[in-house]
Amino acid sequence: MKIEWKKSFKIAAILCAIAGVSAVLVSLANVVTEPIIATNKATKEKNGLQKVFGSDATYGEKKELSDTKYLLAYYPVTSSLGESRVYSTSGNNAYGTVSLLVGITSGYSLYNLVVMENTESYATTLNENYIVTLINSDKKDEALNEVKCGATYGAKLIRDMVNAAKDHYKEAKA
Amino acid sequence: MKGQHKQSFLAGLWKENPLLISLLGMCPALAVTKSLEAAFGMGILFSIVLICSNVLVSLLRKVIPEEVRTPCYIVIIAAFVTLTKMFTEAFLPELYSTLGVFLSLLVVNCVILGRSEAFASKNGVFDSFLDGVGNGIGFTLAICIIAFVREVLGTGRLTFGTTFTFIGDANGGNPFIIPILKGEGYDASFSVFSTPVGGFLVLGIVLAIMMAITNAKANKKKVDERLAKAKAKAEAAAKAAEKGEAK
Repeated sequence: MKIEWKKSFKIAAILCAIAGVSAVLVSLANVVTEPIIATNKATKEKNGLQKVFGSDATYGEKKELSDTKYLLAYYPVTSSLGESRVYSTSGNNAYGTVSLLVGITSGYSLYNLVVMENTESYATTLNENYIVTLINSDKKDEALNEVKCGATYGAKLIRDMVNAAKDHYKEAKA
Repeated sequence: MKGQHKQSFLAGLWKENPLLISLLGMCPALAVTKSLEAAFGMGILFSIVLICSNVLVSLLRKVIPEEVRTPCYIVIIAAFVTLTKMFTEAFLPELYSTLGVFLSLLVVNCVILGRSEAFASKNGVFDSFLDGVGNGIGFTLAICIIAFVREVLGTGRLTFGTTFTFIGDANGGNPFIIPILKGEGYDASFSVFSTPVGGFLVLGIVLAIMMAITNAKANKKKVDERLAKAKAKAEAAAKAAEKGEAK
C-alpha cells in the first residue's frame, strides 16, 4: 500500500495547528481566571470555617499537610471548647468527590463538619440521609459509623475522612 | 433578513428543535432540569459553546481535511467548553458547582457536534451563527419549560437566587421564593418530579403536547386544503350551472 506522505503530513499539521491554537487560548484563559478562582475558593473556605466552630472562635493560620490520603491542611482553633482543629479534607470514590471542613475537639471527637463540595452521583441522598443526620446528632461519633443510608459508599468516604482527621490530631498530640 | 438566513435561525426554534423534535441532548435536559435557574444557566452556556463552535467550524470548513473532520470538531468544541468552564468557575461559581460534570459533558453533546457536522461544515459563517443562535434558544427554551414544570410540581415553588447569587444579593442575600403548590398550611407538591423519574415523565408529557400541537397544525392544513378544494368544486359547478341556464 502506497503511503501518501504529503497528504498525511498536511492532515497532521492541520490537526496540530488546531490543537495548538486551542491550547494557547485555554492557557490565556487560565492566566486570567486562575487568580479569581483561587480568591473565590479562599473566600468560600473562610466562610465555611466560620460555620465549623462559630464566628466567636479564633482561627489560626492554615498549615498545609502532605503525605496523607484525605487531609489537605488544618487550622488551629481556639474557642470556648479549648484548643481544637479544623481539617480541610478531600476524597473521592467511583461516584464523585467530597470535600469537607471537619472540626475536631481536643478530646478527638467530631464537633461539626461543613460540606465544601459534593459531586457524588447520590449527593442528595448522601446529604439528606447521612450528613444532615450526622450534623444534628448529639452523639456524632456514633452517628458517624451509621453508614447504611442509601449512599453508603459516599458515607463510608466521609467516615474515613473524619477518622483520618481524628487520627492525625491524636498523633500530633502524642 | 433574507429567506435563507431566516430559515437558518427559525429552524432550531420549533421545526427542528434539537431537544423536542430531534430528541438530541437528552442527558443535560434530564440532569439539570430540577431547577429553572440551573436549566437557564445550562441553556446559556450551551448556546455560547454552540454559537462559537459553529462559527469556527464554518470558518475552517475549507481548511479541515475530510478524513479528520470529527477529531477537529471535537478539539474545537472541547476548547470552547474548557474556556466556558473556566470563566463560569471564576465568575459564576454557584452555577459551576450546580452544573458539575454536565458542563464538561458538553464536549460530547450530540447537538453541538451534530450542528457542526450537519450545518456549519456546509454553510457560510453568518448562516452558521444564526443556526447556532436558533438552536441555542430552542434548546434553552425546551429545557426551561421542562425545568419550570419539574420545579413547580416537585418542590411546589419557584426559587431564584441560589444559582445566580446576584439575584439573592438584591434580596439581602436571601433567595426569592414564589410559592405555587406549597406554602403556609398547604402542600400539593409531588417530590417524584424532582427525581430522574420525574424528569422522564415531564419530558414525555412535553413531547406529547408538542406532537399534539404539530398534529393539530397538520390536520388543520389538510382540512383547509379539502375545504378549499370543495369550495373550488362548488364554484365550478355553480358556474357550469349558470352557463347551462344561459344556454
